[in-house]
Amino acid sequence: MKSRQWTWGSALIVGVALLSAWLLSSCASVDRSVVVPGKTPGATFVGNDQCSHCHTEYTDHFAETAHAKVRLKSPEQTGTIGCELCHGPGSKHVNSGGDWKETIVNPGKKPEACFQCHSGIRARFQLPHRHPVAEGQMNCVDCHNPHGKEIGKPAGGLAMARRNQTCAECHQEQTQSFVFEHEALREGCVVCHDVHGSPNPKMLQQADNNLCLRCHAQAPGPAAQPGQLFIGKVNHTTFVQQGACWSCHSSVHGSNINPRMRY
Amino acid sequence: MPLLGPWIQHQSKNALLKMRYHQHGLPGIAIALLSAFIVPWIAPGPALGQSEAESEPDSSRPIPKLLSQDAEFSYETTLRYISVDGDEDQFRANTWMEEGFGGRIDRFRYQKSIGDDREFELQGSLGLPENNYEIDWRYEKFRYGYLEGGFEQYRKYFDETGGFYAPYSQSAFDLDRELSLDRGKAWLEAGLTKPTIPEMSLRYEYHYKDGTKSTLQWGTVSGPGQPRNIYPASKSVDQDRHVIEYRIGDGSADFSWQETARLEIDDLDTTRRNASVVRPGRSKPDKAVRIQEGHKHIQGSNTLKAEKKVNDWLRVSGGYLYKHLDGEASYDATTFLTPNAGVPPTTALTGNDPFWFDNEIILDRESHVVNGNTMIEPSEGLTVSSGIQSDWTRQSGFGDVRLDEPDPSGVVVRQPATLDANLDKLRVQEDVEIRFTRIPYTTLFFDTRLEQEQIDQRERQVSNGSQAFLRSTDHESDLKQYKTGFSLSPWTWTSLHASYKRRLKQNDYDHTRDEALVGVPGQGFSAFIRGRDIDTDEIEVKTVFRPIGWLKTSLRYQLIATDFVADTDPIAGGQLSPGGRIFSGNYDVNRYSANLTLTPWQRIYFTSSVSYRRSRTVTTDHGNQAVAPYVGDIYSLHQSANWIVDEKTDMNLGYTLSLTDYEQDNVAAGLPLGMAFAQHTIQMGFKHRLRPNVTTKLQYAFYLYNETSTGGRNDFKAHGLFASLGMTF
Repeated sequence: MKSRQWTWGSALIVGVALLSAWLLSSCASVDRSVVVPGKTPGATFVGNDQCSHCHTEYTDHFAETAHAKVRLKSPEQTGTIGCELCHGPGSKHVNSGGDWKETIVNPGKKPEACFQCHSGIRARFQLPHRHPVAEGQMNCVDCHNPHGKEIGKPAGGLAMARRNQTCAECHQEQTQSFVFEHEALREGCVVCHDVHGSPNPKMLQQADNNLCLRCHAQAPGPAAQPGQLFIGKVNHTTFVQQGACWSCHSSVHGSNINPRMRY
Repeated sequence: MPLLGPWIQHQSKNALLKMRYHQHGLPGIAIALLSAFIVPWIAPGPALGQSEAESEPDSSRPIPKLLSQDAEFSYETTLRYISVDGDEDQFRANTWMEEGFGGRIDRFRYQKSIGDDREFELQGSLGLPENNYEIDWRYEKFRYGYLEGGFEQYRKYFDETGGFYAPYSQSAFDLDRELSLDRGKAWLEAGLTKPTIPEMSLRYEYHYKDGTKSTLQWGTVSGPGQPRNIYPASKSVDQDRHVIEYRIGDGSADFSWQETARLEIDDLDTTRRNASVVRPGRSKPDKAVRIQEGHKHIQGSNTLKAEKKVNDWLRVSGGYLYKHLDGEASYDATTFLTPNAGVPPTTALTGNDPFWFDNEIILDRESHVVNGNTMIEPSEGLTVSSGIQSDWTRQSGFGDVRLDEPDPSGVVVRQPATLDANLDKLRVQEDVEIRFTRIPYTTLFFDTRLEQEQIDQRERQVSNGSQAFLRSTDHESDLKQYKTGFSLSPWTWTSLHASYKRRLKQNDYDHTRDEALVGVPGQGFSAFIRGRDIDTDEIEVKTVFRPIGWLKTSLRYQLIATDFVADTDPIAGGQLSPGGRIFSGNYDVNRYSANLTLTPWQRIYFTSSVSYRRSRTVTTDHGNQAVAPYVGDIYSLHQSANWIVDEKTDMNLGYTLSLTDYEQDNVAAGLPLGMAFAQHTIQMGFKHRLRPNVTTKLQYAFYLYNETSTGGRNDFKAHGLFASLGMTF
């Protein structure tokens, strides 16, 4: 009951604020324009050719990048394709001789420019278990190279990513060398984790035994009773009733002491 | 003043100091001192014996115009109060903020141009009580060099609640601790950017993690019927990492190269605390296991890469990476009875309780990676880029350990063992990307990624117990990935993007040796797995409409369908399993999203994003009722609006919603672990410009979180008030 009161109370506050704002704004005239995310106030589009005068390290390679597929050879669509699609209109940047402070959008500093197209990814950063991109502690470019051959790797190093290289930059604890490694890591971290955000703790794709049983399954034999779950020769029927696989196989990323990843 | 001695006498520094003092008082002078101290080190100019002619500007590298020759200093500070009704730990984990009073310098920035070609900049933010810091500074003399450094840290909070099992008639357990982990980095870098010599830089980084996080290794709680693993667990982490990196490189439009040498020294210590016995009706465990692990390594790597533009249509590049790791690890697992066990203890040590520790664990890894790439533009509108990368890694681990466990009488029995595991991996990746843009208003693309991997793996445990085994496996895997699609935009007001991706990863295991001391030879763990296929299809369609300049909409659909197939040996002579291929799992995801952006008037901006995701995971359970499909929906809504009320006032309003329902109905036979919650956030406020250089902001936020899957234990409701003041000088 109390919760419902709060909901109505909040709705009332929002309504009053909306109405006030509308009335106030309709009674005055101003010269300013609202700042749209991904745009630089007062700047206009200049086209890709202007960018290639200075930024050859990006423009020369752009055709092999993941973003090249949304770039069209169409001069009349300036601003809706190419560099300024992500960096916003570039006239201020060009006219200043290349100054970058408040003259051009840098998606590497704020993810809003990326979210203009990747709105589904923004929704995943709203989930309780996520990387802190919305909080400003991380940026898209910490894990992605928008100008590189592979989108799924941070800038630098070789043209192609090594497996799990991106995640290992921060998660050495999970990607370090182990005497006994879990072979799932050979499939990559993303085979178990939803890296942008997940409703499940630790950004797992599934919060229960389905995560492991996708790979650890075998056909039942005549000695296995209906409902019994064997993995190898070990009867796991009782174990899966008790809870998740990782309660017992707790060293899920690898172990220095136990090949079964226990303890 | 005597302390400032020799360097403060520099004339330009005196000028700086005077100017800062008059303009900005003490904060300005502090920053001026910092910058003045740096000047002689990084910007000696002709004083180092270099002629003015040598430092003449290179016309090929334009100097950015400096915005102002005057110093600029700005900051914005926020005071806040947040009240939380409900689970404060969950609030912290969800919002990355603490309840109560807090303060934050959202951003401060000082910028000063020094002469025509030098600049100093300092910027950052500070947040309390979360201890979130971000400070970085840079001094640069254009076309000569730079010095930069910084420090950043942020805190991640964890909820310490375990699982929830309704038949126990108890709320979810928690550790009654505040869990958080600080992650930080400090760095210092110096670089030379003179046009006449190769660019080079030397960088030092110090990374650290310190704190305690929750884990999912939940302990066993007894109650009516079968016990359930729902008691929460934690892990303390103390990591220090030092990185030294030296880069040198040079290049022109036709040829460039870069060499990077890197040294990493890592020291990681963790302590896990897992409950193993919690008696019915108790809130604390009787028995627990503490696992302390250490890991230290030194890793050196060297990367050399070069790129050559052969002609207008051909570009080639290549690189070589060498990496070597020397490491050692430590391990100590101890089972103990807690004071809750009572006197005499009601819980005893059993045969599975670990008293494991190491005498020595050694790790060694070495990698060679060679990479080659080409990019060809044989005709206007056609680009073909390709690459090949060979990655060879040898890894070995050795352990001299004790796997002691109690006998039935509770006496811990000595069980020495030696472990060794060696891997030789060879992975070859090839990729080809084709772009075709000759068709008007259209881009076609086709990407292929192929990967072949061979792994020779040998694992052995020598001991007197039942765990002794020897396994030698040849693992081969083959990845084929194709992606094709198009972008089409015949008119400026609309565009359509569509793509299809197929990814098939096939693994094959040939166990040349598979021996166990106890049980049937040929069936050691996990050498019964013969193969595994992971097959993924992905379709994505996106369309954008901009019917008028102030309206933009986009619609997106994505389907990801993954099938898992396992192949095993016969188990126990075919009695437990006849072996062979089995469809082991299926994971399907459907995502729909829509986005609307409106700027109907220069004073109003409104954006709304809606997304819906349904995923379904089903695995082969052989009729076991404890394993329920993991099926559910996620609804997300993000809306925000900004108004310019008048020349001095802006208002904003935002609302976000995340609604998730993965609840499972296996409570009788198993443990429901699916998440179900609703999270609402409303934010509203205004920004008012008191003077041209002074702004204030007032913001209110409301947070509501209801998590039905933990029986309401994690619910919270919170109100936050944020007041900000921003100034620019």
